Amino acid sequence: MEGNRSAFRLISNSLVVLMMTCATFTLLSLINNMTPEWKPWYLAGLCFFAATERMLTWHLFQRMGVFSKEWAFSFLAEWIVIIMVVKTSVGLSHGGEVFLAEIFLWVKNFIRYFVTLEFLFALAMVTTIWVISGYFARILDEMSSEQVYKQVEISGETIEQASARERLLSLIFGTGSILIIITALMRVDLGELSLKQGISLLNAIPSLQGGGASTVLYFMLGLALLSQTQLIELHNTWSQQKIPVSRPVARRWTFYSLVFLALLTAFISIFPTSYSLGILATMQYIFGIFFGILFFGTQVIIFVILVLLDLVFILFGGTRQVIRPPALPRQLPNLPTSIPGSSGQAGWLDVVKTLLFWSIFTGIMIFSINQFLRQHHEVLDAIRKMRTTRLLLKLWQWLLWLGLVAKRGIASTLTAGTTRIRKNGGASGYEPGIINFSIRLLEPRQKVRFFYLTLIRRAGESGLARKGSQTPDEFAASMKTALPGVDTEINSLTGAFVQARYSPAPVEKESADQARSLWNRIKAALKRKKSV
Amino acid sequence: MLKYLPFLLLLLVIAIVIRDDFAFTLIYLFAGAFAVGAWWSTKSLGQIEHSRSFIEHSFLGEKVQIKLQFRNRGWLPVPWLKIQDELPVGLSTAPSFATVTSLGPNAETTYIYELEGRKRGCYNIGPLFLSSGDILGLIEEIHIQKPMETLTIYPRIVPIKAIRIPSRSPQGSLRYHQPIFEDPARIFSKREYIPGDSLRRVDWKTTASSGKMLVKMFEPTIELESMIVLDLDPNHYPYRQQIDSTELAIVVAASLASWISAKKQEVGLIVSGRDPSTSDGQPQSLSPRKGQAHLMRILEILARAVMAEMGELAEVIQQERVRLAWGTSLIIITGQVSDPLLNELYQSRRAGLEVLVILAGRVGQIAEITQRAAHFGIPVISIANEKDLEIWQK
Repeated sequence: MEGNRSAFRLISNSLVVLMMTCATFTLLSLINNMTPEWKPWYLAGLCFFAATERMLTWHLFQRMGVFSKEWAFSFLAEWIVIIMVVKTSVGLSHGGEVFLAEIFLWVKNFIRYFVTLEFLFALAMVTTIWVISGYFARILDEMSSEQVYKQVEISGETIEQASARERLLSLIFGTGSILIIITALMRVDLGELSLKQGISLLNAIPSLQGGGASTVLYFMLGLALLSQTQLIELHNTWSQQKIPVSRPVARRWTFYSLVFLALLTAFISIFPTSYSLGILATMQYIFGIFFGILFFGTQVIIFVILVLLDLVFILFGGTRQVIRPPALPRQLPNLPTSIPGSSGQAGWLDVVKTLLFWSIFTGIMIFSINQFLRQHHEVLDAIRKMRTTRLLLKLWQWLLWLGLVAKRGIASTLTAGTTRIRKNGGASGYEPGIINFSIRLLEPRQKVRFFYLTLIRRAGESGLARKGSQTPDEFAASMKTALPGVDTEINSLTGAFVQARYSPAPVEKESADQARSLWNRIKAALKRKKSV
Repeated sequence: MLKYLPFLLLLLVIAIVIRDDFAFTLIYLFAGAFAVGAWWSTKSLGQIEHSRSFIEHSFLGEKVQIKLQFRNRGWLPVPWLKIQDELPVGLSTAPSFATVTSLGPNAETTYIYELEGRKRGCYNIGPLFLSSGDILGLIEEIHIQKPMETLTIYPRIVPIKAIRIPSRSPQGSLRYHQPIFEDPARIFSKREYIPGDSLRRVDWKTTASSGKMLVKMFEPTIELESMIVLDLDPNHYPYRQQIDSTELAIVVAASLASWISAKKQEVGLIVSGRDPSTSDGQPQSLSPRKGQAHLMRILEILARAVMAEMGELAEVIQQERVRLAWGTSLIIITGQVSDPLLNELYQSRRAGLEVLVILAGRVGQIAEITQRAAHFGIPVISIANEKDLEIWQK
């Protein structure tokens, strides 16, 4: 484990130094953007030096008592060296001869010629990097000394301080947030701010220039540092729990970290990051194409039907009609225009790119949120307990219930209708295969039988069911008892049915029409009886 | 992830406002780190195949080796895998077996650890916890749990050489000292005919060949069908020695069952106590049977049985003895002999069962108990500690 810790310190320190250098580059990009005539890139080397020095000497200073004599001397010596290095770098950036001449001027007026604005700015920057590096060094030292949790006393109360790793995360992301804001500021042309005209304020800076690359690299190095610190934190936890760790864990960790970062790099390089169209305009364009295809397809189907009808018409001696086939649209719907600030009319490639971008972006967001909610059930529970969520859930359940009721209603209506039709088809003696969708298609004999059997069915629904053993005349007698006002009609319809059912004599159309009118009168009497 | 939410929101706002590539690149970077990390750790842990193998039954004092095998059957490596197998308190000084390893694609690893069977009982090995996580530590650790398995440690068995268990079952395969029941299938000697001997005993073949009239001598044997009744009611044992006495009673029961089974005789078991593994807590009663498998079942029940207040032992015997065949030997192992028990045992004798009482533990007034029991014709043996079992080893 000691070997691992030494390797951890070396790798972690190197990563911190590189991160600080990247941060410096971002800041210098902003300065260069604001003052193009000044080339401050030498400051990156200075900050690299300051970060390295701080990471290496932090342990030495920790061993000394703060504000002790030894500490004071060391601190003073350190800062004298730093100041001299800064001044030398600033001076040499203007050229060696200029610097040499400046040295002689220090004798004349030290404050004026030594403490210049550029020197002060460089010193401030170096100091900032030195301080931040110190924070990193302290946290990494805590992690490597097997401290998982620390208890500190504040105002007499003992509280548990956030673990070293959590503080490291806060530091990385805090510093990174500042870099992001700086990089974002570089994309805004502050000198051309014009609200009246609504002109886009965005500079067309290529993505990786203007601090973009250094900021992204800062975070990549930050992730690598997180990977190293995760190993150490896990080791500390396992060590406290006295759990043995096999050697391959540490040995393979760096390799797996590199693989992970490589996967990430591939991931972010594959997916599109730019878009020039709004999502709504793109969706509108896509829907336009879809409906155009649908409309054209409908036209084709109508054309085919018309051609067939025309052929049939010709067979019956009609003249041929001229039917023109549907024409393919000459042009696709107009591509949406770019959103303000982008470059001109967008091509179809931009549409695809935009659609792909938003799909992937939305997909990643949904996946991340889903994973987050799965791992933090308390958040999901909190969302469920919210009043708005409960109302929405109730609304959703009500809609589901409505749908279910409608479905059941439709199903039961269809079942009842089908059952009724089947029952009537079996009891009425209809020839199998007749689909009684129109009485007009029936023969007179079938019509008479239909009306009589309808009478039996309706009588049954009104409580005057026919017994299986009853003959038509016996049934008629029972019907006349129940419906006294329509005796003649019942007798006539029964007679017509007996003739249609049992007699080979032909049944005329008039008999069928008469049977219909008889049935209508009996039906009215049944309705009156039912309503009573 | 909650900690990074403000940072991601800031990125999102900047990305939407300035619509610049670098902001989306960073969003992809972090969302990708989170998504790839979650996917990697979930999928890699799901690829782990594991098995735990060990001999599920062991005797007291034996070492049980438990083998854990893990195999990564997928192509994704597992950066770290924490393995924790919970161990029973009674068998191990450590609360669990734990280790951390890393598994490459299609890699295998095996771990072996030992447990010592210090005490009889049924012990749960596990559950086995497997934990893993992502490289960056952005995702919380993922845990999966594998089920427990049971290890049974049988009670101690003291080897018995000889013990006189009364039996009325005639013509068995066990030689017996009382020449009441002679087994006509077992001829152990011949002698000259004495007037009065039954002519059925004459060995005609030997008589013809020797010229003298000789009769067969048959070996007296018995069938030793036994039912061991074990009393684990702590109220029936001396207060300060309840645990030791009941454990001794279990050792006696196990040793007797083993000896009887070794003699190829039938043995059954009734336990007046509690079995935590059954649904109603009642130990299963086993009817007398022969065979090694039956003995193992007896030992299983004895391994699991624990003390419990069950009331009067006499009631248990009264319920169970109706199922016993005539001539069965009833061996009662208890810590006290009450009047109702004596009365029930006497009734059992009258019903044709032979009874033997074994007092386990330091029982007071043994002489008085023995005398009272003798009045009913019930022999009593006192086993105060395991050393006393040596009387059966002579």
